Amino acid sequence: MQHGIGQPVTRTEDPRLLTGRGIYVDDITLPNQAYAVIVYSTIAHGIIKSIDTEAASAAPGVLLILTGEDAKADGLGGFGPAFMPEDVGIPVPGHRTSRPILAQGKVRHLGERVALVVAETAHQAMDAAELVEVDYETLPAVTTAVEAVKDGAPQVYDEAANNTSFALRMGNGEAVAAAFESAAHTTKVSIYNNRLTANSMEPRGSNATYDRASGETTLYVSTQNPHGVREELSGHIFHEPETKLRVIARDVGGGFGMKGGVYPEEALVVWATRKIQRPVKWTPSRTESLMSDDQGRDQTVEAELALDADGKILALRWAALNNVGAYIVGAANVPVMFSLRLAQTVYAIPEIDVGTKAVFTNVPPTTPYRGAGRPEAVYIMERLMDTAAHEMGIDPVELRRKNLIAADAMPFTTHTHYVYDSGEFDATMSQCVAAADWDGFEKRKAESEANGRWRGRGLAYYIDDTGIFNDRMELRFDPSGSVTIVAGTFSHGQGHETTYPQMVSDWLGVDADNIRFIQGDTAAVSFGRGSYASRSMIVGGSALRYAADEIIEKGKKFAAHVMEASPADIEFADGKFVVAGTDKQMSMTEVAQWAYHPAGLPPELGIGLEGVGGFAATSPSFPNGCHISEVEIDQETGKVYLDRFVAVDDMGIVMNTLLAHGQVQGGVGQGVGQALLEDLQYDPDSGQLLTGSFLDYCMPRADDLPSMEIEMNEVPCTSNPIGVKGAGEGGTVGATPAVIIAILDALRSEGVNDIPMPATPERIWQALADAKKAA
Amino acid sequence: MAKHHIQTTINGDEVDVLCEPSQSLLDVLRDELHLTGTKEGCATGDCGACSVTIDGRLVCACLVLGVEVNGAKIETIEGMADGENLHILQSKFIEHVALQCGICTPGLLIAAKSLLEENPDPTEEEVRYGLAGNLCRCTGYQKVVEAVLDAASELRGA
Amino acid sequence: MRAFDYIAPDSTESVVAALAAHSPNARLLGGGTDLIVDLKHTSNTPKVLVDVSQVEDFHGIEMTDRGLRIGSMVTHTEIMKSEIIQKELPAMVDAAHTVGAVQTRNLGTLGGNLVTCVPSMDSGPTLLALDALVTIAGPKGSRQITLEEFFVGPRKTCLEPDEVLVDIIIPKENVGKPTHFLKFGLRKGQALALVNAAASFHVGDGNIFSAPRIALGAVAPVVMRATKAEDFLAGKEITEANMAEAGEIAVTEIKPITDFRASKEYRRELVAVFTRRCLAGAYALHQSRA
Repeated sequence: MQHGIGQPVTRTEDPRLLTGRGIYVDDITLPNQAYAVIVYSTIAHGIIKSIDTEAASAAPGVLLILTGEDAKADGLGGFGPAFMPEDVGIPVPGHRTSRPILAQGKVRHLGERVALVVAETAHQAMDAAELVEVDYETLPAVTTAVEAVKDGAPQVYDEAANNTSFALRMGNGEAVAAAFESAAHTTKVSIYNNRLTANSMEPRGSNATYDRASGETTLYVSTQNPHGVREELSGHIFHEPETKLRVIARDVGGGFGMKGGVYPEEALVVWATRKIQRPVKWTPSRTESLMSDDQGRDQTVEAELALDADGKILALRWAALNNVGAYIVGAANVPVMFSLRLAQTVYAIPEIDVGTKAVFTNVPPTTPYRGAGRPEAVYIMERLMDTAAHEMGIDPVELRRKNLIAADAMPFTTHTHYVYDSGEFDATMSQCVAAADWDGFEKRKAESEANGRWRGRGLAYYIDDTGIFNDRMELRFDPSGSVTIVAGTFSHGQGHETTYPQMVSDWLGVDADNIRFIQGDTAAVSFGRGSYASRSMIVGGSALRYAADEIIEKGKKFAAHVMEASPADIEFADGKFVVAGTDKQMSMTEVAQWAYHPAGLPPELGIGLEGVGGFAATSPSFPNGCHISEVEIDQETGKVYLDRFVAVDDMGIVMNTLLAHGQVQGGVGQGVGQALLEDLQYDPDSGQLLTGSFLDYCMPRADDLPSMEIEMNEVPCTSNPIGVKGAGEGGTVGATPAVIIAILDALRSEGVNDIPMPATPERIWQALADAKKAA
Repeated sequence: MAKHHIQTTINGDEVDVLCEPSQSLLDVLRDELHLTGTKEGCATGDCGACSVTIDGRLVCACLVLGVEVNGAKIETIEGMADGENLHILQSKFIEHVALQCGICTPGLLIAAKSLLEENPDPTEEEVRYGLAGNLCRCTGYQKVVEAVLDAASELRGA
Repeated sequence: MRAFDYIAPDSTESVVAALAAHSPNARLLGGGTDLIVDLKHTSNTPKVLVDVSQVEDFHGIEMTDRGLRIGSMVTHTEIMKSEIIQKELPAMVDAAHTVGAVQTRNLGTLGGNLVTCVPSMDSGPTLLALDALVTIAGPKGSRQITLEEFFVGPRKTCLEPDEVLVDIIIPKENVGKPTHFLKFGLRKGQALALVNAAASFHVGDGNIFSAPRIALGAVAPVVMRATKAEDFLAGKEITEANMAEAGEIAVTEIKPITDFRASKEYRRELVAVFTRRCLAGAYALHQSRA
């Protein structure tokens, strides 16, 4: 089938998006529109002594000014964590925070929201915002987890001693200690997994309008999770039934986890529109995005590996600090916990002992950012494997091969209670090694050397745990026989508008042109959880399968009635209901049309044809793969040139190769960004953001990346009905270690064994200088 | 300040618009003319999402004042297709799935069109260099580059 | 952006008159790649913006009696496309190539780059290495000074509030002088220079450095010449060792700072490397022409 599963089908959404007809949140301007500007905290830590809004209130065009005191007076709540460890069965208490929509009494990070100004025009709001005078008493700030846990460090919360919210540990400390005692070889690495920001090319933004007739407020927002936004705002901020608020997300220009939660601005525009009864729109500048978006990664780790003389791993041990910023909000604990749960990655490790602390500092909160904990876990493990291989004089491929979990050991239960259902790690690695022209490396290396450049090669094997929670999908036929997919997941670039219809077309035999797709409107989609953690195809796709199954079962009854047969005799195949053993048949479309017949239907069949499917990812799926990169390094300046990149991924059954490859390529781009360019830097004393524009927060551009070679090794997942594994994050997880290990490989001959991320030319130059000094 | 009366041609249509000197061309396109296909990604000329051409020159509309384009011919994404007939670059972007979230796509298409007008037979390296002013966070650029090279080859053959 | 008024005079005289009428509350608008960004972030908005892009005197690239004249409003793209510059001064093409990206090169002008006078400007080193002159127009008429005199400090030139940069002149004897430019940034497109360098010299009889010039950016408050390194080279044989030595001498002349983008130690290292590479590049150009 041309549009069936696995076909490289082009995207339904594209003609709209590439003619400029996409509707992103800032493209929506409502009649009588008013504009909001936020006054952000200009300091990282301090007490708000007073806020003077008098001059601002008198400025031209100003309609409304609100501060934290007003929020308190109106009884508005704050944002808490979606879960703390103790909420998910881990008996570890932790300091739980509530992030106010406007600061009350204290600011804890640069960019915390202090006041809201609404005016007739955006310029007037901006001018008035500058007139809001906030008198701060500046307190000492701490920006890194390493400093924050020290005695005497500035305290973000008095209630959290040493700025620690909670400490988690998994595994068997005693057994690991014993293994280290008896090990023939131990390897140690210290890692800082740098702080990043998603920088979706569409910034966040929101626009809310209150309908005086119905009393309902509609919020247009750039989010990955419209129902989640409604749930949080209704439940935690406004304390009202969700029926009062309708949340709509139209086209969303990327999220990468950053738009998975809910932000103060979304509450503020809803609050403001109810006050002034005019639509209120907020669009941030890029500098405001860099300052106020929730951020990613920021983990400091000391890690060790114990091996026997043959290179078999005996034990893994690491202790980390996760800098969670000033508040633990939304899914902030996901990266903290996932790095632990994925600690042993793809290796058969007899014992592990891993732990981390969630540490408060005076920087913005962290949130899941593409990978969320898995990049941290994989980076630690792959750096340890690479370092051990080098120290022990074992080929890095060989060392991995000795320790990879064997395909016939599946299902495999890890020490952290994950059950890997499937995976051919060794075969996937071999496929990648072959694709990367492993044997041609020495020749390329010699050519590079002749040009004054070192060449290095890095291999990384990653695994990802993807798909969480449950979700709901609906299929509704209409009287014409067309079908609508009502999705609880939310596509913001992934192409669900194409892939889901592709699947439904395949399953139900309905022409793709007769399939409509709806998402992202809480009034049209009764429930959903949005898209993050590479969950949509696993959870949404599986739920869709069940919805399709329900359609088929109901359809058989209708078909049986119309064709005067017993439902038990109806078979469904290739889009047709057939009375077994006869040539009597009806198409899916005909049956759907019959289901809306105005008379003559038996009452027990009801009216219409629809199916609802739900699926819960009780176990995640585990996409995995091997990435190999080659870099060249200028011997004088330390500048890295990424020359080759090959990836072989196992994301289970691939629904659409074009889209799947796109996910890998984009993911690799971001992983390379972390390794080479991206870094959120705060001044350690003042907590001011140093990399506050695109000039200094460098992201890969077209000429920074090579053409990548992507292959698949499709090993079907057995924990969901459609055999899929998550596709969204693996590229990012694998690429970062593959690039850093390649850099280290290039520099090993010069005595360099470690390099921080991002591996800037200066850091490489410094590492070379240090190695020279030490020699 | 007094508003200025600006007369331009946008996508072949003669347009009269009143604008403040402090409005960028991007503001004028989006807010006054409701041509929202041109996007704002940074407003500092670093991301290329607001790429348009002025008298055939590729520029970031966020770095040009509306008052500067009096008498000029402007092309935006809304004028790229000929009615329902997509420009070959648009078709190739679909064929190669050279977009994901789509927010940077209008700018990339305008930049790619300008690139091919300047250099109908670019190498991969020239395409990557030529598109370095356009940030995309989703695609890793690979399918974009493939689509542009494919479009170039077809345009040369046509 | 805050409100301001806008005028677009079409002659040097009317620009000067407008400045006389409005300075210091006026600012000149060239390509706008720097100014417009500035206006978005400052509350210190001028009352009047004087757009000088319509002034014919500020455009054009042509050989004159004195040398190669480049209008201050010539864009980086126009430099890249100029046949005479491609042939005689490819280093200027290389420098233009490293400015921003296509979109910024199409807007940004040579004059604007110089007037903005940031230490990391991409156009400065090559022009300094070519002993460029600038023509300035003001209420008292026009004057010509060296580019070196023009640069005063970070974001500060010797332009008075009522003066405007008309054109840049590469002296005749230096049109065709072997020159090479290199920029070092963290990425390729849209990068800020950590170090910029340009070198030029004529090849004298006996294969010696004649009239050597070395100019460096982002390593001092303004783009600067490394005169000690130049003096060292003058009259010496063109060898790799002498090029390297000049690089080491240049390091002693710069005043780099440490900031979050790079340390002064690293900038010093880069200056040694890029001075040498620029000298080698200029020599390679000479040889390729021979």
